[in-house]
This record gives sequence, structure tokens and C-alpha cells, in this order.
Amino acid sequence: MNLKVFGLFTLVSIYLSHQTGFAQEQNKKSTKKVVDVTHQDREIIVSVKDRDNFNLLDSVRVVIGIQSKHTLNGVVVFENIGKDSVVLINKPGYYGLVKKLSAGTMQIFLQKSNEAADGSIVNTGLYSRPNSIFSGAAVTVSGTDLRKVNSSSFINALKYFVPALSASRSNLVGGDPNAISDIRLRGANNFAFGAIVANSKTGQKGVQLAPSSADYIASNIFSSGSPVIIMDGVQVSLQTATDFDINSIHSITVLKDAAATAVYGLRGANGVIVIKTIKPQRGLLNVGIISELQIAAADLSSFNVLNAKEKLGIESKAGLYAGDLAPYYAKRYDDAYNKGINTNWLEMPLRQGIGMKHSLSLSGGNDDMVYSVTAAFNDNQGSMKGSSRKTSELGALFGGRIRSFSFDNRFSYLAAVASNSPYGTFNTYTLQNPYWNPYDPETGKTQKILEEITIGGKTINLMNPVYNTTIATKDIADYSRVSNITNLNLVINEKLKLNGNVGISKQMDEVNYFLPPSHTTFADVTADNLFERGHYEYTSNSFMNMEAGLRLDYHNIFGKHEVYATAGQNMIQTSSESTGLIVQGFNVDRLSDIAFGAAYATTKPITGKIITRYASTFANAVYSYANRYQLDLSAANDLHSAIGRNDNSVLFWGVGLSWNVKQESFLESIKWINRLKLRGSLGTTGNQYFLSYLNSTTYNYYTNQQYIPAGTGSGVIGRGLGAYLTSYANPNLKSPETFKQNIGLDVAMLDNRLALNIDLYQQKTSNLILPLISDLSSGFVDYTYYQNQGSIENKGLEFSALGTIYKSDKNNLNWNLRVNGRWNKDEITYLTGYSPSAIWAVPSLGIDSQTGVEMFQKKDGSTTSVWDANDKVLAGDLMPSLMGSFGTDASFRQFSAGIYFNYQLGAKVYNQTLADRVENADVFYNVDRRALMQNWTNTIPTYATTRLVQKDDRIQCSSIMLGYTLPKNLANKIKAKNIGVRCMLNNVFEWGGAEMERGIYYPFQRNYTFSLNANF
Amino acid sequence: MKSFKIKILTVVGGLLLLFSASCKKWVSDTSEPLQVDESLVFSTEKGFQDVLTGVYLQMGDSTLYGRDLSMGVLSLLGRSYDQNIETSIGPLFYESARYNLQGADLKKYAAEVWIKMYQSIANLNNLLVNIEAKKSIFTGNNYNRYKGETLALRAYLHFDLLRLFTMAPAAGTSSGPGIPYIKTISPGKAAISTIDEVMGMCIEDLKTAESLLSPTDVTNYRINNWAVKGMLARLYLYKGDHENAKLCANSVIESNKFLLAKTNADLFFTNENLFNLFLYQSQSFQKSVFADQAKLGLTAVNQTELYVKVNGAVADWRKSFVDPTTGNGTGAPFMPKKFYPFASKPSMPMVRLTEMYYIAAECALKDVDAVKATALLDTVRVHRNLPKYPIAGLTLENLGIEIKNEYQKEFIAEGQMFFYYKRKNMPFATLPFTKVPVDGNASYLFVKPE
Repeated sequence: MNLKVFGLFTLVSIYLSHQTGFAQEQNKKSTKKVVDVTHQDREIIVSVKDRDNFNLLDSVRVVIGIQSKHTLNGVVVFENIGKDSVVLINKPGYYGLVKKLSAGTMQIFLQKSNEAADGSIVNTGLYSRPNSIFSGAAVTVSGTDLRKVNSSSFINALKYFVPALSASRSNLVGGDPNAISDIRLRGANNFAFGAIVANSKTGQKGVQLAPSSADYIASNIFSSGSPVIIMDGVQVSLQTATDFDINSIHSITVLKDAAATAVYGLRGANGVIVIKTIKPQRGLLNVGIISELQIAAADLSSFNVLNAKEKLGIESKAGLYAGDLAPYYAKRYDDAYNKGINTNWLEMPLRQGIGMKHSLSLSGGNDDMVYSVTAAFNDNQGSMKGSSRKTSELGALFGGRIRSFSFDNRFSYLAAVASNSPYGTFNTYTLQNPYWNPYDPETGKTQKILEEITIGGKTINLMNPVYNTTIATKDIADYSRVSNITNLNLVINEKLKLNGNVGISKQMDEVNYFLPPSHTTFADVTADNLFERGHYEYTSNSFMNMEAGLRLDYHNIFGKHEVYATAGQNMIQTSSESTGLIVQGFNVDRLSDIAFGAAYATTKPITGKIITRYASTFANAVYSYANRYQLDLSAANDLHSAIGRNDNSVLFWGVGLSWNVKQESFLESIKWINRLKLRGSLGTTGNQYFLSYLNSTTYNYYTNQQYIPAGTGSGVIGRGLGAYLTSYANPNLKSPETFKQNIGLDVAMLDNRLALNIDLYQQKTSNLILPLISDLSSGFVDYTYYQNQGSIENKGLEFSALGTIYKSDKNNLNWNLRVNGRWNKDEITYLTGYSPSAIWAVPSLGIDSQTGVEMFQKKDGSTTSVWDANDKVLAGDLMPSLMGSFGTDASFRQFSAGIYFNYQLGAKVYNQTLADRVENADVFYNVDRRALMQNWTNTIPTYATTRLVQKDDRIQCSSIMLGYTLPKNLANKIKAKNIGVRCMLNNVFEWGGAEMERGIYYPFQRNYTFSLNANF
Repeated sequence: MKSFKIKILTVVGGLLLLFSASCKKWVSDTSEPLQVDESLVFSTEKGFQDVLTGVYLQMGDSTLYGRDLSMGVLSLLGRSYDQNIETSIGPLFYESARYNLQGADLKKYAAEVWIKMYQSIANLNNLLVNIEAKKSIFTGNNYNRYKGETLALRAYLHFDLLRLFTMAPAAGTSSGPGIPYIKTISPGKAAISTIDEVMGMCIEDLKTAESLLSPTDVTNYRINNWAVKGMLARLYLYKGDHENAKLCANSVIESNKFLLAKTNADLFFTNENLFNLFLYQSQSFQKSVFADQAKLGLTAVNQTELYVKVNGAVADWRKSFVDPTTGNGTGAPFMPKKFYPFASKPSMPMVRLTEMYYIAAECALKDVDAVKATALLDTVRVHRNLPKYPIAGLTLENLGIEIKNEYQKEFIAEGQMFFYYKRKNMPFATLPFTKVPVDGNASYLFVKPE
């Protein structure tokens, strides 16, 4: 994290300050002479070079007095200079300079004013290198490109450009705006922690109740394959990065292999996503406005439930009315057939979620000072009623430069309010019988009880879930986050520069969850337990992240040799706290405040507190010979509070090699190849996503008892005090280590119209931190011992092809096509040798047509009708073997359009809908239409069988975009620099896939976005 | 300019070096909030005492000696009560009365005992590691005392686990599988030792403890040298090694460090005991057994049966029973008076001096020395306000019965009777005060958890 922060900072400072400060210093030696040089007819030669690569720059405007000239071949000559003692140098894309005149020849270096987002510079967050000499596997995508694909979720957009990135949404959470995707770069490097905790029946040491959404460690403990996300130099959680305005993203760099991530040491194994936000534009005042209208509509195409008449039919067929329920048939029949009740329960909790988003940015400045103020508000309304996520954001950036020293300070405030629908989970509605009427037929009001039935003398009330929305049901999580990042930069000379950075961020979260006393949950609480009705959960969390770093950059060229080097140090501390209260005993539905509760439901608050510290010393050096052969060396010596005890330092390393074949003489004559680069790397990285205190043996004191005779001196503090063991350390705990190997090929040809990238990778993670299952007699019951064991290996191939089919300057016409993909295979290389996402089921031989009973194949090959868990075999893998995206975009005159697809092949899925909603369905409630075909006399439940393991090959149209930009002359009439409108559809449609309900708790949704973008 | 550059580089270089050096300390110093690190706990002598005290507190848990291994489950198994033995007392107590140790309720209870005792043992083992590692921290005789106490407690817990979860040597072979004897704190698998081996290791720990603990320290709310000797006597007797049992018991009796009570001011006779365990929550534990819903106790008929008939007397101090609600001897007195008023007696005897007399007497019987046995029993009887046995003397067989009766009277509602019956492997039909028939699968064996 620190490292990344460092890197980002440095980069930032580079833009802001180098050239000028640096240039001034270059000439310090001669400044004294300047005083003496007062000749009227001096001749001065000025040569101008790029600070980064020392190339001579052309077309630089150089002004001395009244003379103004442009450099040719990097040089400009002035004669007959008057008394003027300063020279002004200016070139678009570079910082301007004002320098004192010296005699004879002046050499001036210019610094690029903005880092290109086109990938020509790879910004690893800790240092930047020109792409041509970078040996690692990294992809840079500009914010503009991202927003063309998806204007609300940067992860979904990034997925389109980076096939290595998988962002999968759980089929349960669907399109819930308050749920985030599970993201992963390349294959699996770890097990999900949650499964381990559940399996080992152990206490969750170091795990908090509802940790702050900013806590990037806690939020990844349960999804420990997540890449590290660095935003403007500081590590953030995926939730934080997602809540920031996508319009403020300048570029995103995804780092994958060892050469790119080794400097991240302990943090690098899952890969790194480096996000840079937009820098202020120079000028008097630039105003940017973006307004969006967002519409979310539920996609119910995967749901197919029965209507009232069909439902009654299937109930009769299944013999539901043979027993106790017999008296209810007539009433239900009457409702369905005569009264025409056929409630569409699926629509009850749904709506068209209409939200909006506004961003405003003001920026300006000159070469010595820049500022920007940004504000954004995003009201993201989901397709379930009452479900929304609102974020507001304020940002201020101020930067300045004094001689060779420069600084900038970035302050931001971010607040989010996440509301969940009072309707509860969507699956409640797929179960409701259509002949039930949610409204009282007489009054038209929402009724609480849908039907009252008596089974075996016991009265059961079937509750109306919609009723809960008429009372003050509450499920809201909100937070506010403040962060400040200061970046200092000193250019020592043209070879050396020094960076320092300090970042502090603090987030406070609150979760309020209230079920009023008449909520249907308490329907069964009897009247004499009045004070058990109503339930209020309040959780307050905070997270604080502090980082500081120092870094030294070196760059030099000696003839054909070029060296880049960076060394630095980062320190990061995270601290998080949570406190939770549960109160019960509410009497009034409307009073949704914790204060109206009668008593605590628990004896004490649930608290958690975690502090981690991390320090990293890192270095990277690149040596390039004639821009042809590159050697890239990285190392990081990391210290982390959660590993070791005896020795908490770990050394990580990376070696990269690359060969620019195009630079070789034998390819020089082949004009149709523009670029040909071979690169390879190997090295190690670690993973910081594990519990924080596995390396400490701790005690706690009994606070509720003393070892003394009762009533004698119990007031004496500390008398008879007892301590007990609360955890036992593994003092030799090591960080998991991922050994990464990568070979890549970058090709550009046909006048750069076709670009190809191929990467072949293999990653092996060993020393996974997993719990040791202990005998009860070892005493390890309330706490668990964790040790390094097991390994996971994944290998794969990524490819990406980008072609320009047609390109013409005339009419701004061009047409691009992109295809990319990734084959991947995960394997747990200890114990099982299978993928962690494998599906296990008993092989089915189909259903015997005579008996209607499913036949299975046993391990020994024999046939049986009895299902036995021991016969389970590997039935498939949830992860696709090949996934990726393809799409095309085109522009013509003022119009632009694009269509983008994602695909996955080779994935299997267990059709839970067939299992739960057809074969094992409780026909008392509504079922999937396929249940009509079911033989309801068969009472054998369906267990995990290969019959229900289905192919899940899918193609999804993730985005369709149409845009129009107002012609310059029209825009200028209203004093605008440019104005554009855009219409975008996301998650448009899907082909293929298993026929199962998608979005169990929350339906998936289609999003329509209309946006207006104007700059003044 | 040149010198400026050099200065900067020096400063930066210095900073980087400083950073690297101080980072290590900064990272290592990260503490775990809400918990106390081991290094802090064991930074003073007091910390060792705290951890030891913690184990005593754990032993006072309601699952262990606080309630169920004393007046609760083990006293129901030990037949201290015949009052109110109905399903209303809850499945744990009711199934205990039925000796249904294989049933779900007692299986669950057994698992809790197993887990909690072994957790205490883990605490002791980690304490031992630290005692050795920080030997230099101790002043005076404290190293010996802490180490001795720790070893003795470890043996105490293992021995009771053995007595609960494995067959008594009297009931069969003692070379069968016993329990794991955990000597180091370590996760993972634990090897199971045979019953003989476990007893051997208990003896070894107790002997080491005996050599470490000072004989002049007679503080009896923690394990002392004499309590260790008492435990050895108990263990040898259980093992069937009467010779050593006699030696140990006699050494305690003859030391005169602990004297039998002369008054009935304290019916627990706290001062004469070798080891008492303080129970901070004694009041609520006692209430849950003798008041509230359970209301366990011994009926008046059986009080007379036990304390008065044959060689007993109404004047026996121990025959003091009260009504648990009023504390009066009139009305329906069925609760041993020693518990009344609740919380007034905040400790539970773990090793009694009188047990030494009984052990010595039992060993004397083994030596066919009726006179010695009678004399030993008489010594206790005098201090319980009972007359000595008739001069005519008792037969060896009758003396055996007398010892059993004395155990019953002395240890009523203290849980020791279960171990007595188990040691003697008494048939369930011969157990006294059986109010409900024992279960078909009745057994003296608690079930080890999976």
C-alpha cells in the first residue's frame, strides 16, 4: 500500500514540478555570469530536451525579449539580444519555463505536464517507466475509454479491457446497488476465508462485526483473492473506489506479473489496480459539468412462476388438499376463478429506479500553482423499491512550486448512504401464491395476514411481506470518509529527484437495522412476550489509514545505456474499530430509533478493534541497452505486524527481461511491423489478506470474578485477579508467497492499426495461511492455531487484439474492433489437486422411465437408486475456462457508437432453481413453471446430482453506447469548449447459460443512462 | 549547489537508514487491542500469579468444581440426594440420577468438562513454558511455588479426567487406552496414553510438585505441599497401591500441619482441609442446585438412615439439614446446612484432611489391622461430635461399610462419592437412595467427545 502511495505521489509531483525547478538548477552555475554578460550583441544557443528521455524537442516556442522562435532539431539560435535577461520556453503538453539568460549555450529540460493515459508510460504507483522499456505485464486504460463502456461501474468497464480481471456478481445479490462484485486478477491465489472459519468451527479471532467498508483488509479477509487497489497513492477498499465518481478517473493501470508487482512485496500477489484521478487543467478557470439520468429496470427474464389457476392445478395434482388443507380449496378456487385474483408478486417489490448523477469541477492555475475543486452527487436507485445508494463527494486540490521544490495536497470528502429495500429479499416474493391478495378486498389497504390456515389444530398465519413496507422498517448503512494526501517533491538535479508523501484517511460507518414490533418476523411472538418484539441493531465502525513514504528516483543515459532506478520506504498503519448494540422490545412501529427500545438483547456490546502495521523498503532498477534489451530488477523487504514474531520481515524479488525486437536492424526494413516486443518475468510476492493477530499469544483478565472468599475485600482492585489464554501464537507464521512467471508478446503492425498482446502465465501460491484442525484435548477450542500449509497453482493465457478497421481524418471517421480473452485453470496442489471452485455431485444415470426414480452410479461402477454422498465426483468448475470480451466502436462526424460483449465458456453451474424451485419445491408455495411437468407422487428429494450440473456458457451484451458531440462552432456560441450527450444501456441482454433464476435475493437489472457533458 | 546536493543526499540516505532500523521496532510493537500480549502478562511476577489464579477461577466454573463436579451432576451420581428427583429438575440432573452417562444430555455435559479441563491444562502448560523462560524474574521461593502449583494442578485435572472418562482399575485392566496427558501447549493431534501411563505421569507431576512446594506453606485456598501429598494418597488408592497410599496419607496425618475441627462453627470445616477452591459465584450455583427449580436434598427419613442408624448419632454435626428457603431446621429440612446461607461458604473442599484418615483406614484394612482402622475412624468421629466405636470393635467387613458410611456423611453434596462408587466398582443396584431406576445403559464412564 505504502509503496503504491509513494509511487502515485511521486508521479503526481513529477508532473507538477520537475521541469521548471530542474531547469533552473541546471543553470545555477552560470547565473552569476549572467550579471556580467550585458553585451548588446550576444549570440545564444538554446537546446531543449525532454526531462524523461533526454530527447531533443522540436516546435518549442522560445521567447527572448521581442524575439520568438521555435526549436528545430531541438535547438534554436538567437542573435542581437538586447538587455533582456530572461528566456520564456513553452510547448503544449509540457510545463512552461521562465529562466535567466546565460551566455553561450543553454540546455533546458522540459517536463511533460500530464502523464499520458495511452499507456506509453506505465505508472506502477511506486514509479513510472516508459512502456517501451517495461518488462512487466501491465495494462493502462484511460478514464475516457472506461466511461465509453460503463459510466457507473469502473470495474465492469475495466473488465472489458482487461481479460485478466474477473468481476463476478453472486447470483444471490444480483443487481443490488449496495453489493459489490467479487474481483480477481488472473486465477485464484487463496481460499475464501469464510469457508475456513465455518468449517473449522472456530472463533473468529481478528474478525470484526460489520467492519467499516473502507477497511481494505477486513473487506478482503473473506474474498482474499482481491487485487490491491491504489487510488492516488493510497490503498482503498473496492467499495471506496466504487463510490468515487467514475468521471474523475484519469486512468487505471492493472499490474499483473512479478516484474510489475514485486515492489509491492507483501501486497502484490493478487495483482494491483492503480487508479489515478484527473489533474487540474491550467488556465484561468475551467468548468466541467456532467449530468446523468439513470434508470434501472429489473431483468425478470429468468423467472417463470405459475399463475393462480396453474398453481391451484398443481396443488391439487400434488395432493395438497387431501388432508388438513382440504377446507381451503374452495375458497382459493373461488378467489382464483371467480374473483379473478392473480397477484403478480414478482412485480410487488419492483419499480423503475430513477436516479441521477451530477459532477462539477472547477480548476485552473498556471505553472506555479494549480487548484481544483470538485463536487459530485450520485443517487443510484435500484430496481427494488426503497433500495438505493447515494454518494456525495467534495474534493479540493492545491499544488504549488517554488524553485525545484513542489507540493500538492489533495483533500477529499466522501459520504454514502446505502438503503436496502424494506421489501426484504426478492425470493420472498417468488414464493408467494398468486391467489393470495396483498390488499384487503374491502378496504383496499395492505393486509398483514394473507391467509389463516389450521393444520393439525394449529393455526398458521401466512404473512404478507408487503405489510412490512407500511411500517418503519429500516436497513441503512452510511458512512463519511475524509482523506488528505500531501505529496512533496524535490528535484535535486536532472538525474535525481526525491519524493515524500503523507496520507491520512478516516472513515466512520454506521449501520441501522430496525424491524418494528408489528413486522411479520414477530408474528409468532405471543402477546405475553411483548417486550421481545421489535429489533434494532446499531453498529458503529471506524477505519483509519495512515501512510507515509519517502522515495528517491534516478534516471540517466550514458550513450546507449539507460538506467532508471527507484528506492524507497513506506509505512502504513491501519486501525479499525467496531461496536454493535442490539436492542429489543419496541412498542410503536413508527418510532424507529434505538432509544425507544426496552432493553438490550445482548448482555454487552459487541466490540472489535484491529491495528496493523506494515513497512516496506523497496527498490527497482531498469537497465536498458540501446532501447533493445532491458533488465528489470525489483526487491522489497517488508515488515508486517501480522506475520512472524521472531522475524517479521520477508524479502520479495522480481526479475524481468524484455527485448524490443523491432529495434533490431533486421526488422528495421520491415515497415508493416511497428512494434515487436518480447518480455518475460519471474519473482515472488505476498498476500496481506489474513487475520491480523495469528502471531501473538494473548491473555485476557476475568472481569466478572475474583479468586477470593465472597464478601471479603472484593472491593480491592486486582486482588484475586485471574488471567486466561485467549490465543496462542504461531511465532513462525509467514506470508503466503506467490511465485509468478510470465511471458508476453506485444505486437503492433500495419501502421499501428492492429495491436496484439499475449501473455502466458503461471502462478503458484504456497504457504497459505490455514487453520490447523486440533483435537479438543489440545485446548485449542476458543482459538485456533494457523499455520502455513497448502498451495494453489493457476496457469493461463491472456490475449487481447485491438484493430482499427477504418480510419480517416476526414469526417472523424473510424471503426475499431476489440477481442480479448483468458484461459485459466486453478488447482489446489495439496490435498485434492482440484480447483477451489469445483462442483461435486453424484453421477446420475438419468431417471428410470418406469419407476420415475433417479439412478446413480456408485464409485465402484455399480448402479443404485440410493443417493450416497460418498459417491460424489468432480462434476465441473464454476469458473469458466475461457472468458473475455469483444466489442466494436465507431465514430463518424459528431456521432459515436459502441457495443460491447462479455463471454464465458466452459463454466458449469449447479441448477439451484431446478433443485429448489422444481424438484424439491414445497408446492405449498409458488414454484417454477417447470414444476408442472414434475411427477408429484415421487417424494424422493433430489440431492447433489450431476443431472443438475449444467453448462453455463454465456454471452452478455454488457453495454451499448450512442454519443453525440456538438460541433465546435455551435458549442462556442454558448461559450462552451465542448458539449456532448450520450445514451448508454448496460446489461442489455444475455444469451445462453443454464436456465435458472438469476438474482435470488435481488434481481439483476438493466441500466439506462443518459448523460450530458459540458466543459466551459 | 554541489554541497547542497550532497547535503540532501546525506539527509535522504540517513533518513532511509533510520527508517529501516526504526521500522522493525515500529512494526513489532503493534499490539493487539482488547487483549493483553503474553510478553506483557509475564513481565512481572504478578502476571504468573494472575494466570495461575485464572486456572483456579476456571476450575470454579459451574461445569467443573463450581457446581457440577461437586454438588451438581457428581452428587446426583454420588447419591447425595433423594429429594425432588423428578424430570422437573432438568434433563442434566435427572439423567444423572439415572446414571444415563451414554445419553445425549450427559454426553454434551461430558464434552464441556473435557473441553474446559483441557483448556485449563493448555493455560497451565503455557504458564510452565513462561515460568522456565523467565526464571530470573522470580524472587524468593516463588519459582518453586509457581512451578509446583502449576504441575500439581495439571495432575489434578488429568487425574479427574481419567477418573471420569476411563474405567476404574478395579473394574478391569488399566493398560487400556486412557486419555491424552498434555504436557506442552501445542495444537493438532494429541496422543492417548494408557490408564497406567496417565496415572504414572500424574504421580510424576505430583512428586515434582511435592519437591518444589514448601512444606511450611499451609495456605489451603491453593494447592500446597500437603494437598499434593493428599492427592498422591488418593491416586495411589485409586490405583490400588495401598502401600504408597498409606505412606502419603499418614505423612499428612502425622505432620499435624492441619488439625481436625473442634467446633461446628463451620460445617465445611474449611480450616482443616488441605485444599479448598474459592467459588466466586457460589451463591448462584448453590441456588441452582438447592433452591429454584431443582431443590435437591436428602429427605428426613434418609438423613436418619445415613447419620443416625447403626453407629451414628443425632448429635453428629454433619447431620444438620435445613429448609433451603428459610434456613430453619424445622419444616422441610433437606439441604445440608453447610450450604446455608447461600454464599456464606464461598469455597468447595477439594482435598479434605478427613479423606486421609479414611484412606489410611482403608489401607489398614488391607493390612488386616482393624484396631488401626478403628482408631483412625474414631479420631475423625470425635471431631464430628460422635462417640467412638464400641470397645468390642468391628469386624473388618463392618469397618469397610463404616468407611463407606463415613465417606457418605463427610462428602455429602461434594461429588466425591461418585469416585468412591466408581473406585469400588459398586453395582448400580447397591447404590443407596436410588429414587429412580438407573438407565439400561447405566455406566460409570463419561463419554469422551469426538
